Amino acid sequence: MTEIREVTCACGAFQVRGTLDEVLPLVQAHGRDVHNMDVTADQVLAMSVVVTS
Amino acid sequence: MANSTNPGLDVDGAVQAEVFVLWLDDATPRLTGPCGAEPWYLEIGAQQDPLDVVAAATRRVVGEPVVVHSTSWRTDRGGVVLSFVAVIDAAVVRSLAAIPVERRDLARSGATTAPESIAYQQVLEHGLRHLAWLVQDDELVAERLSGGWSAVLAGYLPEPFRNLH
Repeated sequence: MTEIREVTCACGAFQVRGTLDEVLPLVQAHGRDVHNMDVTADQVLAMSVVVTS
Repeated sequence: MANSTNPGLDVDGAVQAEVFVLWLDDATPRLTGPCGAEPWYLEIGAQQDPLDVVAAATRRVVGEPVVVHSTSWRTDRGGVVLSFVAVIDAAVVRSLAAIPVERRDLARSGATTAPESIAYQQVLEHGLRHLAWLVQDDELVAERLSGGWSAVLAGYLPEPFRNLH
């Protein structure tokens, strides 16, 4: 079964849940657009938590 | 918020910007921002100009700023944090969450040492005092912050400075 992951931003204004493929572009877009951060796929994997599988 | 079980996304890096997005609600400055009514953090790359990053991000995420100015720095959050005030028209941000800015005592350093702790409200107080000085000293800022802002910032001037006028 596909893992569902969740990533929350410390800013409190952004939280996303989905497969890694789904959350990756959203997290990268939030990081780039709102916080001027380049976030790699490995970083997204590390900062996410598995909420269901 | 991120917690111990979810490290989450957070701004880090050797240089970070802390932005206070401010607008004037009648005679009350209000703090807002894309992340809620709190400081907004941006990562500053090694080759990036902090003011350019903050101005561009404010324009992109919030709206066209009236004034963006750096007001202080400190070591915090694992790096050097540069604080900015970004003043923006009420019409642009009125729909965003906001809180009124309340006066605070400044965080006082020793003669050669940094303060032991600094609350963001104290950084913001310092930023508004800095803006108050700029309105007196910088023609462009004075022109941009004429009217309501100028009147509000007069209350942030130290007494000796106020007595000169």
